[in-house]
Amino acid sequence: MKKTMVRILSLLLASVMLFTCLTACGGGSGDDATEAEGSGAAGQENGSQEPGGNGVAQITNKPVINEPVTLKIVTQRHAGSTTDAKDLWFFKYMEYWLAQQGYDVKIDVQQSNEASQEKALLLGTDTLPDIVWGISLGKTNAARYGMEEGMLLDWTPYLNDSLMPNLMGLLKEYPDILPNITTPSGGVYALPYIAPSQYASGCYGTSERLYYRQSWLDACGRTNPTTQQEFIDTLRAFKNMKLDGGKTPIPVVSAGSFLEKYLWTCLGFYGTEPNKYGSNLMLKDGQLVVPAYTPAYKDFISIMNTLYTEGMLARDYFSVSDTTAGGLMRDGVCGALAWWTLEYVGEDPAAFGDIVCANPILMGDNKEIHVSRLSYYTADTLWVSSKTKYPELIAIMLDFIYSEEGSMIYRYGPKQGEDPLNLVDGWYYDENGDITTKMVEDGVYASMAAYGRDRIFPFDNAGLRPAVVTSGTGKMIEFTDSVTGEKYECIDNLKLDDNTNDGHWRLITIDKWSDYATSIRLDGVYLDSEQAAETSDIITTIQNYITKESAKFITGQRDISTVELFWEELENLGIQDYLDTMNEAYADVLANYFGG
Amino acid sequence: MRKEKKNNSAPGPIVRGSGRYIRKRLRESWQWYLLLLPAFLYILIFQYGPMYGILMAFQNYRPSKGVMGSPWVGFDNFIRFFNYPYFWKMIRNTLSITLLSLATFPCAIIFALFLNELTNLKFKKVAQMVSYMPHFLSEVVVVSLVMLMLDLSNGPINNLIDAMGGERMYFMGEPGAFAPIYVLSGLWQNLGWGTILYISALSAVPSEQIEAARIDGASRFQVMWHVNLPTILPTIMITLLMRMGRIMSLGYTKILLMENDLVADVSNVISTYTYKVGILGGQYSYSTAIGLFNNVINIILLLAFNRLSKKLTEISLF
Repeated sequence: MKKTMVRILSLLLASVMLFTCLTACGGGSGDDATEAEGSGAAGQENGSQEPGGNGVAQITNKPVINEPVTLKIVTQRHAGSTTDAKDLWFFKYMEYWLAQQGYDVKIDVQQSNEASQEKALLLGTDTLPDIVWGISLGKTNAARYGMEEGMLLDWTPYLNDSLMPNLMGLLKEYPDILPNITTPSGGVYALPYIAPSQYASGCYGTSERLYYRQSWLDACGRTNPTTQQEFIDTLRAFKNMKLDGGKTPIPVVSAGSFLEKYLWTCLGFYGTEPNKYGSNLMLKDGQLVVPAYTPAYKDFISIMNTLYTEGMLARDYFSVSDTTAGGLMRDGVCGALAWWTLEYVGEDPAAFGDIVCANPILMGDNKEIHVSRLSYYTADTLWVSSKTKYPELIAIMLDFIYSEEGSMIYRYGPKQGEDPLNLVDGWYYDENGDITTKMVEDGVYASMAAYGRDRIFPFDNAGLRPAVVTSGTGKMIEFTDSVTGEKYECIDNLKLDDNTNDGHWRLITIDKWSDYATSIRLDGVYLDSEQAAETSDIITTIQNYITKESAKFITGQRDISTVELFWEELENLGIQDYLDTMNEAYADVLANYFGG
Repeated sequence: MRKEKKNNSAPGPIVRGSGRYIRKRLRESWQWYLLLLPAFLYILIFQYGPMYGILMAFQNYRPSKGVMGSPWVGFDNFIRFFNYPYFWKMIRNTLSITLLSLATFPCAIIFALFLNELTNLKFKKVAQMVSYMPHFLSEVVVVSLVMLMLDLSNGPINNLIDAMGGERMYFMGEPGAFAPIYVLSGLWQNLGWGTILYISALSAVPSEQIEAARIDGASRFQVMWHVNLPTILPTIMITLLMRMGRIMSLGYTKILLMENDLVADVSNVISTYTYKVGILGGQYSYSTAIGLFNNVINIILLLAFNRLSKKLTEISLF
């Protein structure tokens, strides 16, 4: 009896363990684009289809695919999303929309919250799904995995008015996009996210966001600083503020390195967002530089050293998380705050109305300040495996979100009462003319953006951002490019309302910085894999060195007078080789901006 | 007649290791081999199967060509790593953490020996459970707890220092405190879990020996020292040897969670570098070479200490 029991038990346990093993084995093998169902290319040809119904516009000259198709998609999600990408309305609608076009398509979506890691793994293991959605490919990857490895679909055969009329229309309307997304070999390996509405907010950038509390300035008898000395003296004055409840004032609280970005901007660097300690490529006086390897670095560390050693920054400044910094901003213990927006200040008009934007200040020996405008497009947020069997089908599907109708459907879902799937309530205009929906009105979601990200679409940066709905004032905002002197006119198609937190910070920032905005941007360049490996080695080394030494300079562990030795060490680590390589890579870009 | 025939064909004695011996063992104990099979397959498929991937260390790996089709570059990836300006610093940083961690090795043994001495079964179980629990926390939670405990303004440790008239200390920004914080928080998290093996080994100590020692007048400490410890020594040596084989291995997650600009000098270890260039930078050949280098060092150390252990204590892994 005992022997029989042992036998039964061992058989049972062995089968459970084996089953577990087999389940684990089978789990990871389904992502390859080559596994798409159906007979593949043989079943796909161009031709026309009978029109469908249900109000879905029919595409002419579309590919004929008679078999069921499964399209695999890996998509990025926004932080804090509570739903699964499989449940998003948009992908279900796309299945319906494609069915109306005559296709039997199942969309299999996987989501990723670790985009950079996911991207590296998908590319490094050559296990790309049919479509990668919302994850920026990067120009080095486009060159390596598109040009060299041939793993990414080259869009050039599909970029035509027949298959992608909506995208082609946009590329004609915005002619600077196509050259930017085309690799030196002439291939296009990713499709852009185009956000024309950001023209309005393009009067400023992301490197100048320092704000003061007017009440603190008043209490200290000071005005918005206009010189480096006034800036430091104002923060010194903030340090002596008497706060309610005996709280200790922290003169300046910064999250996301926005204080450092402000300082680098005031020291004359632009082109892209500066790294915390100036270890990335930027522009100054028309030259490509690494800010930490310029004389301005000494000014930077001197200012930061003063702020830190005199207690104008929290003593644990180096390990305070963005969340904690946000909490300090919300608590009102700081007179100056540096962050993307004023979100931490709250929605109370009395609180955010107290905030003023810091002046642009010439710091160190700097003679001019520029801020690179936000780009109205991101080059590479939709990319497709070269192994996909249905490139034409994917082309017409993606082209849909470059249309006005498709972009609205992507971002907001259906209009109220018009959901063919009967899954969501749909959107409508409220009495102020703003788009809203029941779940927003009921307080389930704080905004349409939050609702859309959680219920409708996976990630903002894909396709066309609809401009028609964010109507704004409709006025033209004119500004002069601070570098080239060229005049630009932008449609104010963002709704900027000083009575809201979001409108307030945008307005005060535009007011202070629009005269310093430039369209000159240092977007990425295409490096081949050898150049990428070489520069990656050097940049990893020098960034590491700059980070640890900068922290020492700022805290006083290293004497600022030894900065010459710091630069010498950077030379030993190969910074000049790096600059030479990058100057060569950016030669055409720089020549285009500043002449030969 | 039939009986005779059978006698004539009767096999000789079963030789250990022969086919007959194996068949006999399988027939007798097939249930145990069946239970072993999934684990054996798992190791074969997931541990040995991917080993061909180390070829990448000698290649310029091209994902589209795969391991077998990528071009060979010899030792270029290793040379590149050895020439990396922070090579020695990373080795030093890695070793400073792993060696300090190794120094805490006896803690679990001591804790197990003391737990074993508890006579109140209820208290013993509570103590065990409380000490096991942190093991199930993720590293993110552990690091968050550590940061809260050591917070400059509101952390209990600094509050205590302040209350005792001392000056608050910025622990997380102190390079000298990085390795101790890393190791001690790990010790707190895994101490209880680490005792399981030893408690299990201690249960095998013959009660007659303990009784005999007590009759001979041995104190509890003497029993612990002269009876319990020698009995579990083989287990201790085996776990120590296995630990020696991981001396160059250090997880990157906790380091990344704990690091900040002020401690960048000491937090730059091999695993974080590999993660940054390998996983995020997509340089798979290079990161494989670093991993292989790490493992070779680990194996050399394991073999050396295994030999040493065999010589000194006659206990070894193989």
